[in-house]
Amino acid sequence: MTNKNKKKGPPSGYRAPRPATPSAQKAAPARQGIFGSLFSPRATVDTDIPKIRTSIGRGFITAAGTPGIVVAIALLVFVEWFVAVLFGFQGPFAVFVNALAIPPVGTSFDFQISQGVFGVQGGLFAVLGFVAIRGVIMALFTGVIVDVLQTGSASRWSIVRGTRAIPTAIATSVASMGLVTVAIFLGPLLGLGLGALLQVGALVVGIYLFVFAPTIAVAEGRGMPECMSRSIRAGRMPGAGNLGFAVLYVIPTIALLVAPGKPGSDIGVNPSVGAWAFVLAINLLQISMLAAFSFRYLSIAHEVPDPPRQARPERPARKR
Amino acid sequence: MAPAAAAPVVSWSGFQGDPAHSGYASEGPAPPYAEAWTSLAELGGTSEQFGLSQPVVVGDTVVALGTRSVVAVDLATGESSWTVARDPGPAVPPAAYVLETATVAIAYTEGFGPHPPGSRASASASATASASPTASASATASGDADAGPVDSHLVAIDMATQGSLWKPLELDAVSYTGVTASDGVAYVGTQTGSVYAVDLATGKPAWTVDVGEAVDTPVVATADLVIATTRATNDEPASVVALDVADGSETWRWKADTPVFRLSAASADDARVYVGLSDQNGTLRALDLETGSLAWTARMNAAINLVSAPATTGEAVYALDFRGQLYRFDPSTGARVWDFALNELVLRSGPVAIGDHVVFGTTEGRLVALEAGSGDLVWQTEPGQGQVRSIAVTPERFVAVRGGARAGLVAYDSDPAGTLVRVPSPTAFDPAGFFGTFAIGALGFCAVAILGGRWLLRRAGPALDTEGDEGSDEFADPLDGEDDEDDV
Repeated sequence: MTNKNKKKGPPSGYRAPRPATPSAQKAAPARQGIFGSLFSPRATVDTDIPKIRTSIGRGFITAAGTPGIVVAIALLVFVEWFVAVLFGFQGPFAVFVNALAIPPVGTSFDFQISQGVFGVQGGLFAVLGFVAIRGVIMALFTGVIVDVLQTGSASRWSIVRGTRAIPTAIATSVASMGLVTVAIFLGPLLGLGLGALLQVGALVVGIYLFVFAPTIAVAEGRGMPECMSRSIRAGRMPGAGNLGFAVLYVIPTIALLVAPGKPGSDIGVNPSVGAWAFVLAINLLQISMLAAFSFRYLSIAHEVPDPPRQARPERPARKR
Repeated sequence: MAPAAAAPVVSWSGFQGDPAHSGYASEGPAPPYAEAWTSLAELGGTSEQFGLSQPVVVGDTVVALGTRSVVAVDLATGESSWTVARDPGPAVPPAAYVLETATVAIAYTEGFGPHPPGSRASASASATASASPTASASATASGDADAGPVDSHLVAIDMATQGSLWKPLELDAVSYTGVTASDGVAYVGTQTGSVYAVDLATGKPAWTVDVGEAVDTPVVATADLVIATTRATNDEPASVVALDVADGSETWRWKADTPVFRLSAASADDARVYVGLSDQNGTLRALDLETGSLAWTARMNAAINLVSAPATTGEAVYALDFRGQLYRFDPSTGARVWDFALNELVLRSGPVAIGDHVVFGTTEGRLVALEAGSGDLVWQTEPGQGQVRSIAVTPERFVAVRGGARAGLVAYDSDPAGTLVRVPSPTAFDPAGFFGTFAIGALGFCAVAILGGRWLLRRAGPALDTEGDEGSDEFADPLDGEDDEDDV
């Protein structure tokens, strides 16, 4: 179903994104460092970025309101757990709360499962396969989510659209794996406190910089490198609060992972009904957050600055 | 050196029962079990929480160390046989042995060294405690006052008289290894990395060797080797060191290939040494006894707690991780035969193989017995009586150390009138449970999520106001008009 065939629903109360202004499209800001948006003076910026609460609410409605997403979550988590058990993984099942987490949080899960199944050395190779599979899954979910956000429903075409984002989603997963790997190796060198901070920071930075890339690939059909760089520019937009949103996603995810006494915390391969319900519900929230990030990007896509033009050195005129 | 015929039998001579720490008794009571007696020990101080040391059993007497006393109880009744005050020191395993003269002796270490725990404990054991047999005057052995610095030394007492057999041997640092007695020699490790071999008849050191770093766990003794594990430092990894039993010369040294701070206590059979590492999630390593080369590595879901050692029967190796999962491995290949996940913390207990069963206790106070062949749980107590620590086995009954508010010793016998259960491990795949619980959980999840989500979606309306935005032609829907009925 395309936009023109859609019935319009009741008014949402959401502010329609303003058309892109010439200044936003043309006047690229001066080049900043990677964390320039963090440390530069806060400017009053007029942006269409939704509030965090609105983003989370819309993300949840998008995920939970799409039966295909809900059923896919249940089936994917089941298949992942079943395959892990076949390979000898014995739990705890509760770690699967991150089965469908956004990279690099999901990448940490991939490391954990691959090493739990194949050991430390084997896991280093196996994680590559896990990361690729995560890329494909994230791309397909993003395709459906973007369609639901843009048109109100999803179809088989949404999945086809999602396949276009597979290279970008895999690249995002690989970049996330790099971040996590660096944090894993550098963390112990910095001691317990700073090391833990570095590892959490790597997760936040990964979300902050790369989370929009698959959405850009689906919604705008750009190539992988352009999606990545545009995701970084979108993440760093002043006033968008994307860093805070990334922190808001990462910290509770980690807290949930280490929280004692949650369902499925025991070693065992036959999770209880409660453990299944708990893990599936948390994975629904993971996909809801993916939808929330997609929603935020689509709301401000027109505001994302183009990359600064590189000044080309003038070629000397050829002498005839 | 064969003991005289009149000497009582040493059923359980030290840590994990024998100098190799096998933790195996071919004869012993079979489950179901019933509690025969409980002997409370007024320990006080730092040992109150954890209870007594690993007990040893000599004839009809069970002997264990408290922080300030040596406690002996009657194996048949649990009543106190005698109590001897000792210089304050760690409640680590003593060793029981029989001299050529048929004298039965108990050797143990005492003293906290220059940095004792600052506990102000109550008097030890009981009012009947006699004076410490040691000559050390530095300690307030039975007093109420702060322990204060106490030299570390090795002591041996006669079981019959509780008198000192020889002048205590002063050690160069505090010892947490306990004493391993084998062929008339006691082996002790210290925190400075010294391993002592002491003639049990005279108390004279046969040799002393510096293995480099602190020795934390009981020293293993085989016919030819003395094996100690050392702690890691910034420069040196944790290691397993084998010394020649005759002169202490280093035969081989295996250095941990992954960065771990400490190794678990070790045990050995005729061919291999077994030790647990906290790398990955937790691994069990088997080293060739002759060369020290790594024979195999077996992965576990958590590390072995550092105060316990794998149990070995010759046909099986049992390792218990701190999350309460017991594994049976093939000793020649390291292949996992079965595992049982109890999912209860085990911080102070190791597995003990009794005949065809394996018994261990948990920090919550549960005592469990598993069938060695199948790995099924066949008997267990209710938790809550105080953590269960070491176990000592005799042919008729076994004695477990209990900590907590009712610290002491508890004896168990076979109880023919009791009930056996058969509980498979949660790690055993159960098709009906596996698919059934998923089906119920997923159906409920999907129903709630979809109904709630659709209701919210209707109330919230479209996410983006896309009026007039038809998208670029590049992404025009090729299935337009065909799939309106195919909503995902």
